[in-house]
Amino acid sequence: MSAATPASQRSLAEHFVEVRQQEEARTIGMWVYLGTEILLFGGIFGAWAVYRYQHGEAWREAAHHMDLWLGAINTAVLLLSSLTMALAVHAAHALQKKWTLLFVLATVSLGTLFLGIKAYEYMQEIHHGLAPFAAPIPVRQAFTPATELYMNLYFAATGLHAFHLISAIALLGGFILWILKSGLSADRAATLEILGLFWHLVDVVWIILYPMLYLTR
Amino acid sequence: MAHQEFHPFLKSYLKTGAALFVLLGATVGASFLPLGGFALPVAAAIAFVKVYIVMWVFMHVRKESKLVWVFSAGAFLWLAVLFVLTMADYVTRAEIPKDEWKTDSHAAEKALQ
Repeated sequence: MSAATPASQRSLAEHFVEVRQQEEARTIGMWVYLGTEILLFGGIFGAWAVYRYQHGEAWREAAHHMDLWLGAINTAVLLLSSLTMALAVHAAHALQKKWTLLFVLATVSLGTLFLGIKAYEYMQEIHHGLAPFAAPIPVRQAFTPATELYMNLYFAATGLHAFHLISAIALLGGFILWILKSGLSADRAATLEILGLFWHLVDVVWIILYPMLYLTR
Repeated sequence: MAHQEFHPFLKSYLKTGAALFVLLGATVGASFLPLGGFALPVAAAIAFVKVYIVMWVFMHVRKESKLVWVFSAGAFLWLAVLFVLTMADYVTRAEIPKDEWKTDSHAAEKALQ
């Protein structure tokens, strides 16, 4: 745990001996959940590895159709949001309400910006007939089974990631309302730390998805 | 108390953020180089360094107990198991010729001899 908030300011649930034990239990609990998330995306990473091995040339060709620069901008946006998230958690442990709200708001804004850029990218891809499920029949016939597989995996992977980001934005939005309504406390800083872990995980997944889908040309 | 404590952390977080941006630039730049078969390992290596930095600094794993280290590394251990066992299957399939497999029930044994 970040050591900024004294343990004496925390409330202790009755089944724990001390605050440190309580904090460790909830951190481990969160990491167990994050482990299941990593393995959920792991199924997609694994599928990618198998198909890339089987259809190397076709998949490299398909990756050329991805907008590398939009992906790079979005990666930068999420990396920046992880920085503001870490700063928000730190400000919260120092009980600086104004800075906490500001950094959480910045994080939520960057997350929303990511989704906006992603939506624009999806629209571009649909417009250029790159989405197998949305392409008109004549365009669709231009897909080989391998490239269609690539595009479907792309939409499944980035769609699942976007769904996680929407959840994370909703959680942080709820946190902002909570703090505005009834103030910041040491316990709430500890809650933000856990929410922050989820936010960073969404960033971690994108850090893997970006080179996988855009750069392995 | 807050102000004196806030600034050193700000510096270390900003440095971490800067490192992540440099690595993003590196991975984009590397994708334009004619690396051939090394393109994939290079992209994967940079991604793993980025993931490690985010987990170690932003997710505070460096400050946690050894038990949390085990749990956070555990997810990636299982991921490695998933990759190694799956790929071990696909990479070795070609050793058994497809047609023989259909017509000759001892093809697998022959291929392994």
